[in-house]
Amino acid sequence: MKHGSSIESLGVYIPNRVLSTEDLEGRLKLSRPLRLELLTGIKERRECESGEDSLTLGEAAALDCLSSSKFDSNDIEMIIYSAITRYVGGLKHLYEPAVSILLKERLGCENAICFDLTNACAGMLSAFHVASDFIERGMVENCLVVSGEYITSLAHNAIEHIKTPDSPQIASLTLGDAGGAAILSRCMPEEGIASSKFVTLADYSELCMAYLSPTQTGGIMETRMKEIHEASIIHAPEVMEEALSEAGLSLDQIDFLIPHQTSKQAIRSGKKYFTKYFGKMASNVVINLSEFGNTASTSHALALHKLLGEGRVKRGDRIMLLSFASGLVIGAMIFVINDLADKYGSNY
Amino acid sequence: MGAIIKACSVSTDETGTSYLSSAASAVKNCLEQLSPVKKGVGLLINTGVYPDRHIHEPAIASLIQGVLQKSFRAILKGTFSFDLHSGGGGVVMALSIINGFIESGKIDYGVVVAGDSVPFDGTAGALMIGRGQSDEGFKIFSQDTYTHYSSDFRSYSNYSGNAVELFINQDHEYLNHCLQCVKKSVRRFLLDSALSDGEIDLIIPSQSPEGFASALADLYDKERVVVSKGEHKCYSAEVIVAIADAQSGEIFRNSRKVLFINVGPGIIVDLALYLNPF
Repeated sequence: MKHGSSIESLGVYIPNRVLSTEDLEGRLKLSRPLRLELLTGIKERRECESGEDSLTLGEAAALDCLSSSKFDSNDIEMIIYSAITRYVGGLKHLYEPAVSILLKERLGCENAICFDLTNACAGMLSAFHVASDFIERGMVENCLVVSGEYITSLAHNAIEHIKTPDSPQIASLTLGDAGGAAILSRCMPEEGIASSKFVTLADYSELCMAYLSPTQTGGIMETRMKEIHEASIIHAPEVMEEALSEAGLSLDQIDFLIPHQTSKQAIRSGKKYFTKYFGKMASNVVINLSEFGNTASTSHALALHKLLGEGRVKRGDRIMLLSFASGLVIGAMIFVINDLADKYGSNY
Repeated sequence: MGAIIKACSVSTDETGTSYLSSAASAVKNCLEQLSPVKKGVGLLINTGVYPDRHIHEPAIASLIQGVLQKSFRAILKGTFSFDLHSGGGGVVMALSIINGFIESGKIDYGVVVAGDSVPFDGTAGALMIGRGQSDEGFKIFSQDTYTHYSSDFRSYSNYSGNAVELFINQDHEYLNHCLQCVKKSVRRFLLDSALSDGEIDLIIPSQSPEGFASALADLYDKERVVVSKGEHKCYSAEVIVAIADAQSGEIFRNSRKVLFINVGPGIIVDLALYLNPF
């Protein structure tokens, strides 16, 4: 029998330390101001304090997620760690073992199988896509997806490399640290995730590259922003159409469209393009950048968690999570809010 | 219905440093089996652990797809690529994901590619699987984790003041622990699958840690365990290299029930039973 899968619980962890755009921009040596806050809508982002790293961010988000779940840690049957960053013990990039096995150990999920899935900023939604298949086939009843993005080292490292406003490292200044977690679980086939479509448009695979810095602690990222943005919005409608068609919906029947959070300007330009392409638009397009910035693979979890916490989302609302990531990965996942709406109060 | 192996390829990089170029070459050899295209590759999963230049993003799988996109546009239209990390043992888990997507009817073909850059020699292995008949292909997947040995093997990279350095710490008991864990997992796997040890015709294991495959051959019947010759200094690709080794002789063709064993730091043991089509 084919099952359905749904998001049963969500959790986040936001580090306490605030890094303002003003502070970051003040350290740049440019002849004229970048006006980053005006362009991106990012007033501030959070960054890890001493003792925090990708593992601790992910662990804290997972604990938050488990606290709202009907499942105990012992009930968890699968763990997927889905972040870009794998910093454990400061800015040491852990190759082995998998971060998921460290999470399994720390969380006491004794019965979980586990692995890490990396797919740039689409990591968490890619993991949803994979986990759903396991759940729908009845291989597992639930899956805990966890991301811990300790990614602000890229912003700090970019400062000394940015000499002009068109530097390929400008996008690094938008990044913020955060942890995100979700438990996907079995539900009736007609409930939960209605459709999920992902594709990699590898002609654009080199438009955004990040790697360990050869000259500094942490990472660096180089992005051809204009090109990757244009490719993303031009190709997204095809993926959105497929997802909508499988769900039997049109775009104006979506209550909340949550795109990957890069910059206010990029999201607005995407909205304009999609409105023209489809001749209609979702009721709400979510922008959640002001306080957190671009938190990479956790950005959808943060945005959805905030919507739930503010009580803006109600049972029956249709959500589209729209993923854009280096690769170029485009993904669209549509689901209907169920019990999730009742679990979160006014947390924000 | 199970997914069956459609193509297997091993490729080495002439410079001995770039996994990306050898991975693209190995995948290319598999994709050529699909030309002229009828159905495309739905999933491309890279399970390499140590990438070129310590790349974090995009997924290495996207970069491999990027190298091949122009030559295989029809086959790679609609491909979804990502990386899977499970220490040196991600191949069997990746096969499990692809097998599932094929079973669900979401895709027709999927490719797993594995291999590692420095400190390994860049050797890559690619395995393409596709839909088979009901009495053949991958049948049972299983994973056990032994987290009390999670500190047995740690590797990480860090900027050391003038360069990025790779640090690998391996406990002297790691090999023994891997053997103990695999023995336990295989015993349970056979019990759960209602199979006896004697029913397994061929065992294709990870070759690492050093000495693991030979020790496994001592434990089971030497004739049934594939021990690669070791001319490749590879790591995560070892299982695929072992398949290629077995396929190069009669042994794979003549074996009906094949057990894949992937072991890696964690300690994670991934197992799969494969019914070879005759």
